[in-house]
Amino acid sequence: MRFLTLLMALLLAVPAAAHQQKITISTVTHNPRTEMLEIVHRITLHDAEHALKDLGVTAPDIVDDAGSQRAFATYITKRFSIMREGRPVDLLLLGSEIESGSLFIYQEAPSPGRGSELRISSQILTDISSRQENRVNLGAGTKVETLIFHAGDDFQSAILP
Amino acid sequence: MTHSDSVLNLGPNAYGKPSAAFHILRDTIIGRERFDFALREYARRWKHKRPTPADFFRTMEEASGTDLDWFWRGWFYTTDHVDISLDSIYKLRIDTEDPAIDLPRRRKELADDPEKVGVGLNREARVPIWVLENPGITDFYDDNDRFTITPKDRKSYKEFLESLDEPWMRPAFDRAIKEDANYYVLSFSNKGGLVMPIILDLTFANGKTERMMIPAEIWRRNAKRVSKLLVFPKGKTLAKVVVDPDWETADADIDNNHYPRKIIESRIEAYKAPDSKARVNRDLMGEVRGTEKNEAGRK
Repeated sequence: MRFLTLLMALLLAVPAAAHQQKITISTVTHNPRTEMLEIVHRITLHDAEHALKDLGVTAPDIVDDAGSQRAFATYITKRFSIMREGRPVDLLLLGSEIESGSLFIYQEAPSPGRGSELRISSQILTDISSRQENRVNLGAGTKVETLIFHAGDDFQSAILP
Repeated sequence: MTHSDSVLNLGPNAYGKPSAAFHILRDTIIGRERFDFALREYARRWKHKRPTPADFFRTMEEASGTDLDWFWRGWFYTTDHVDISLDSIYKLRIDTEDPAIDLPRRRKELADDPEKVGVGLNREARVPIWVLENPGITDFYDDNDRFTITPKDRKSYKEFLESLDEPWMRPAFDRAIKEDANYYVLSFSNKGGLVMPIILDLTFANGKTERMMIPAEIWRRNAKRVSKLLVFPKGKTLAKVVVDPDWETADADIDNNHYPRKIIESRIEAYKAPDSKARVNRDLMGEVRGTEKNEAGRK
């Protein structure tokens, strides 16, 4: 009976937030004020910490350990790339911050301007989970075009709005 | 509505979005008292039974006494999002039709227009003006402009007053003229597709603010584009309007929520601003206790 109670308690104790999203959302926008290409990656902390656990970090702490946050941000930027006219765009890693349960990672580069064609690849965490789905939103606000990437997907083309 | 086994992105779609929708329903649309009563009523009616989504929607509407069809439709049967834009504001003023008032008023409005560039350049270059150089040649049009009152104007004013032949018309017209209220027409467009109440923060020229909530029913006849007439007494001039000032309707793009428009920093601009991280990343509790080192490295 005690075992059964314990089992029930364990089953009920799985909170809603325990679902891993396995989704990273990246936003690529042209900022007309600064003439920069702005890239924001958003990944839930829960996903990020599971990924670090899978990589062998026993107690990942992205929130308080600036070192592991930076290491994770660097990893993300290595799995995301943009090509323009056959050459990779050099994206500068500005830094990262945590807000409402998610890790935000910021990158930028001089913008090729609205209407230019970009080739984008987002393979963030696909090396860790085969179920990972990465979304890249081009543009912000109401007019957004979304590219969806799974493990092994090739570059996809899009026009910078 | 998708069966939960088939929902893509279960986290955002099954947890995040309904949670946001119910918070908005409870805190903004029907209020906590009625929402809580309706939810309790739903639990009571359907305990030990198998309610479907439609049973929930119906019970919430019936127990709260609110027509929420538009809400369920937008939030649960479409993938639309909320983005309401305040496109323009027109200011209107009632004409008195009396030439003795309207024409000088219009002359005054015209006087506020910028001077023609050519006129300014001519003055700078001291180009002689023929009528000033030759005093004898002025005619009627040098003493009168297009706002000069003519007998024809007076006659049409008289005819207009006579055309107000129903007994209620003249008093209503006189009252409107006496009030001389400020009329504003606010034009909204629904860029996201999801209809929601329009919450307005109105700032007047004297700095006072007012909050106004236009129910979602405003979108009933046209879900894409609506306008709203606001009337304020004379002297109460509108200076600034913000849609959804407290970010409570999940409006996805706040760029178009301000009138006049306001520059909204991108996430990266805000992150790069020198003071953005200053207080967030500081150990405030440590500083308050005096255990955190300050910038010079001293405690």
